[in-house]
Amino acid sequence: MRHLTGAEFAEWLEGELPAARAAHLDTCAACRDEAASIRAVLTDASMVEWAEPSPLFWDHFGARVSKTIADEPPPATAPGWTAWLRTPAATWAAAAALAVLLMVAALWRATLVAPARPPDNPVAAAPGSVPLIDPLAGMEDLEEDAAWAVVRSAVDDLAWDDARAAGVTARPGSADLAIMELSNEERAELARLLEAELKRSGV
Amino acid sequence: MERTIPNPPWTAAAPHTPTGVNSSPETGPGERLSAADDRALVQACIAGRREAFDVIVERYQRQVYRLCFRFVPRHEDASELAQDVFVRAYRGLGGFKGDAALATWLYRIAVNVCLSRAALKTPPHESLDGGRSREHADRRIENADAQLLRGERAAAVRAAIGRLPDKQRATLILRVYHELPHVQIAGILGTSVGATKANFFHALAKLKTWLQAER
Repeated sequence: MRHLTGAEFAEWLEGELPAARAAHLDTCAACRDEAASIRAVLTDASMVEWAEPSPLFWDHFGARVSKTIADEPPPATAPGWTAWLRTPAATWAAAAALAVLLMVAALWRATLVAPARPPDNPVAAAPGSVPLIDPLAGMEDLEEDAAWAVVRSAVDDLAWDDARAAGVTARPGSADLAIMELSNEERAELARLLEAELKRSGV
Repeated sequence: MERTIPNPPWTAAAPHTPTGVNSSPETGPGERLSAADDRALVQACIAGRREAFDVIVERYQRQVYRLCFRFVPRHEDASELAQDVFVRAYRGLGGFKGDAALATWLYRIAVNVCLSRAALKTPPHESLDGGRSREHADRRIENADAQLLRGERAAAVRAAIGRLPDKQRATLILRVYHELPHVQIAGILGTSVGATKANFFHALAKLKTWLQAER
């Protein structure tokens, strides 16, 4: 059987140790000696007397305390946790959190790739060439899309710096990574489109 | 089995209520504050009735002072600490939720105030009147040698108590000299009942070691 713990010795001192555990003292000399010694110490400690102040002390003490708190304001009831919500700082924090949430949702929605629609007038492509893709394909109905209307209204006043601060812009090098994932034919088509755009803009 | 410590006089769940008083939660203008229960006194204080706090002080000043004196056995220091306890209690009354007895709450403040004082780490005990102990009505007259030995032993015990770690010292003082039950001590010190009992044992074990070394 294991020795008594400190808490069990304390219970034994106060007569609260269960009988099953108290029986250990009958068989264990070490625990029995420990119990006897701490009981003796407790007796010594209990017999220590502490001086009392003069009876006049109590009358003066109360008056001293009363005088000390005389200039204190009445104790105020501690506000509950909901009081924080009514502070101006909390209101602005909630508004800012909502704005960031809308920005993130809008930009995420804007970056979704729409399923490609088959072109109405597909251009006949030369054998082996990459079929041309109309970048505006499928966009005719976008203005009718209610979700897109929400996104547009949310980002109308969105500044680039705010979007970047929110972490929803393209990371540096992401364009390079995208180009590396293109096939050779796709890269050739991209180069042709860029060249045509540069010529058009006079660069 | 013989009990070494008598039953504590009151429990943690029973707020102090003078006999013959209806413990109504609020006091009307005509109701004597001295007869009100602790909860009514707290509410009266918050309502701006300072005299209600005077009643609280009068009701608990002895317990608070004695606790402080057992941490700093010097009258002036104990008095100052006890006053600090009540000032802090007054300021914090608005936060007293009533989930514990007012006495437990005051004890908690007192223990924190006492333990925060660095001077408490170095007792030597100086009694109020040069070593004369508190008198009992039925005390026998002892011879001078026995009194001297008794006084020296008591001084050694007090000094040893002052050397204990904070929680062990607080636990021992609250249990032995204020006769509080372990569950209430646990609430005061913010520990579990098991930890309180263990602290009590370890405090006694340390006292045993130190006192044996002095013999």
